[in-house]
Amino acid sequence: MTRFSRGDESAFLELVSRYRNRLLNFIFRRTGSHELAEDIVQETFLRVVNAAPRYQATAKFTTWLYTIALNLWRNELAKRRVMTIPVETTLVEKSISMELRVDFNHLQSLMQDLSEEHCLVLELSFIEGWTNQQIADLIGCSVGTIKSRKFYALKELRKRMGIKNERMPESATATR
Amino acid sequence: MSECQNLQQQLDEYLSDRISDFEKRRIDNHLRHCPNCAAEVKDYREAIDELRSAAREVEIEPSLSLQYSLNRLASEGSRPDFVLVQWIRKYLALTELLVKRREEDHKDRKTQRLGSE
Repeated sequence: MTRFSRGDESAFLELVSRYRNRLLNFIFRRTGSHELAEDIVQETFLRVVNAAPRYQATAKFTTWLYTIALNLWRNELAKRRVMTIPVETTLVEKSISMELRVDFNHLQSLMQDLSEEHCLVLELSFIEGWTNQQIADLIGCSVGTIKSRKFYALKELRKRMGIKNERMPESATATR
Repeated sequence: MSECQNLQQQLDEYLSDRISDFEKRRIDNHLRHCPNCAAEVKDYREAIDELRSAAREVEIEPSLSLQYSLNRLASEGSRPDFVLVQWIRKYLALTELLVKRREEDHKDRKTQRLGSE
């Protein structure tokens, strides 16, 4: 990113090829629509292009990129709420492959009672492989909070999977 | 500190594979002897595996409109890595548009200010 902000356009090509698919998948898991996910990712990179001359390597580039994309998705959600169109029925596309749809629905059902931030912590941690510090920077809270949320969310997930766990001592239960 | 407490303290690092070989061996060894901790770790691992399998990464195809443009580009004999080229073109075109729009806004505000004076 530093190279791109200095005017090296081939560096932008590298950024896009390195992050596009990961970011698309990450946003797709929120939208359930690949067209909308593509629009959001494209807009994200457009903002990167616009902000490049002012870019300062204070935060990790990935954190910055995902923050932009997440904010765009939240704006999109807010717009849809104002329009009072039920998100579930409008976002889901028929054109998506059945396999992808089954995975998406399964993921939604696993995550359905978790807050957005709990979902984020789980995904960024176990799917994207981020460190607690990176996630804390993105969400804006302490590393300790991230750890608690992670274990709370994992336990909820396990409950959803139908695993009854009475073996775990109460002391090990992380607070929300 | 008991081995169970040690596991609780390092559970996050252990599950995320961010742990030294020495500590990993220590915990693995403990898990062989402590059914409670072994069951807890197994449950967490199952939850993580379930999450990963539902969220496996897929190659998302470009949307229909983008595919149409790409096919046209391909038929014109463009380079094979045209997906990226198309992306870059789109960004650059959008950036130009945005700059133009800003300039126009700026001009409009200037005209309005002059008009009100």
